[in-house]
Amino acid sequence: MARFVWGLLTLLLAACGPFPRDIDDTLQGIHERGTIRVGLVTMRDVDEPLARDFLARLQRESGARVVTERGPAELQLARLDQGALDLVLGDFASDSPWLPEVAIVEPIVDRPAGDRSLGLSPVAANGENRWVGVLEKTVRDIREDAGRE
Amino acid sequence: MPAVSEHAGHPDAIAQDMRAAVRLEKWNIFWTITYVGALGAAMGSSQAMKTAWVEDILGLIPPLAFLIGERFERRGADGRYHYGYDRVNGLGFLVAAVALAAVGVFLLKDAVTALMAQEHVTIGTVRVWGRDVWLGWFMIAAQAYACIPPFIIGRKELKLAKSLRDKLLHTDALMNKANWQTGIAGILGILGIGFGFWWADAVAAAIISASIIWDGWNAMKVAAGELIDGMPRELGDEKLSQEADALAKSLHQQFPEAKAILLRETGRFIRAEVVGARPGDFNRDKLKIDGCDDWRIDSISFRP
Repeated sequence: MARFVWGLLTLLLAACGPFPRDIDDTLQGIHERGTIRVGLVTMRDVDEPLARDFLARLQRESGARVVTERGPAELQLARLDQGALDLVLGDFASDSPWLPEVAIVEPIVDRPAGDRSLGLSPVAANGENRWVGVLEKTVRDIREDAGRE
Repeated sequence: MPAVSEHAGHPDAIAQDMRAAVRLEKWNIFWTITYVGALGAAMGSSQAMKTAWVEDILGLIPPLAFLIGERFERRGADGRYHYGYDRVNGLGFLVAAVALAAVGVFLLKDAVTALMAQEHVTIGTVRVWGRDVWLGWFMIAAQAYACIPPFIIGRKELKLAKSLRDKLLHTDALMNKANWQTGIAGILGILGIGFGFWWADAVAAAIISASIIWDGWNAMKVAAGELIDGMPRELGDEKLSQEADALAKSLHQQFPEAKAILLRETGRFIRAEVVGARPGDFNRDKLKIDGCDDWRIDSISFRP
């Protein structure tokens, strides 16, 4: 046990840098490319300005240009899972069946839909903890500014 | 029908330690509930945190089993249970051991599945007083807190388990040791995720699970040995008890004509049977054996 603890501590010290890190370096990739690859999916017309505001803030926050592509949710989430997108933005249920596969961030705005809650939510790949932190901060800033917190 | 067991309640020699053990186990339950709550609140989707949390919940079984067993043991014998309730402790020990091993297997399966699927764990942030704080820090704080009570209580239990020859208490002490080690492994798992090692969490969970299975397997072997009337064993070990050995030697010396000295363990007590000899003027009360506390010998019977 003691050997395991020291071994892991050594590894951790060797990996010093920003904390927490992304497992697949999404944020580092964004900085290196200078672009955020965003897949937009179906959303209500009334939410379009919120989505634009979110992406504009994200652009300022990261210093990278947003490049958007529209498409069906299934396709965009599959591309996110494969690393072809950095972010998917659209209407998602809080208990979406995609939830174990991707990280659905808290919604910018939400509404009830039957027994469920639907929301305009950013979605990131699982394990990209630094990037998820940036998305969460941006969402919370918008919600705070709109007095929704 | 009158009670026929040789003793009722705890022998005077261990009554004080029994009271101390009961007090300690009550504190153990209290502190376990507090850190199970803290870990549950901070658990998130970390496999290592989930594993540690389940292990900590399981940690409630041995102290509960001890407290239940102690109440029964105190009753002494009655018309329905002529030999008293000494073995309730052993039964609780078996229940705790089986639960420990079974959940260890379940958690190991989860950890290996996560490793094989290369699952990446997401740990988000929470806004506290206007600042976004990584939830991993809360998980680490909860784990660090969860390490303190088992570390202190486990050491105290070990001392009492030795004086009381209590396997259940000893298992609990081992479980507490496993719990604080689990906490450290869990902290390293969370830190590993923070440093971008996707496998760190699942590896930590697998190591914790393997340690749970190992403890459970060893405890099961000893518990089963007691329930099938095996020779008394040392605490936390499969080795035969030195006290039982000393008792057998002493009885052999006193009854050289005996064909066999049979020994078995009922809870913390030893019952002996001298086969092929008559007691004659043997006086149990005058029996003093070096290396075996008098209170441990529950009964000596003769089968001529």
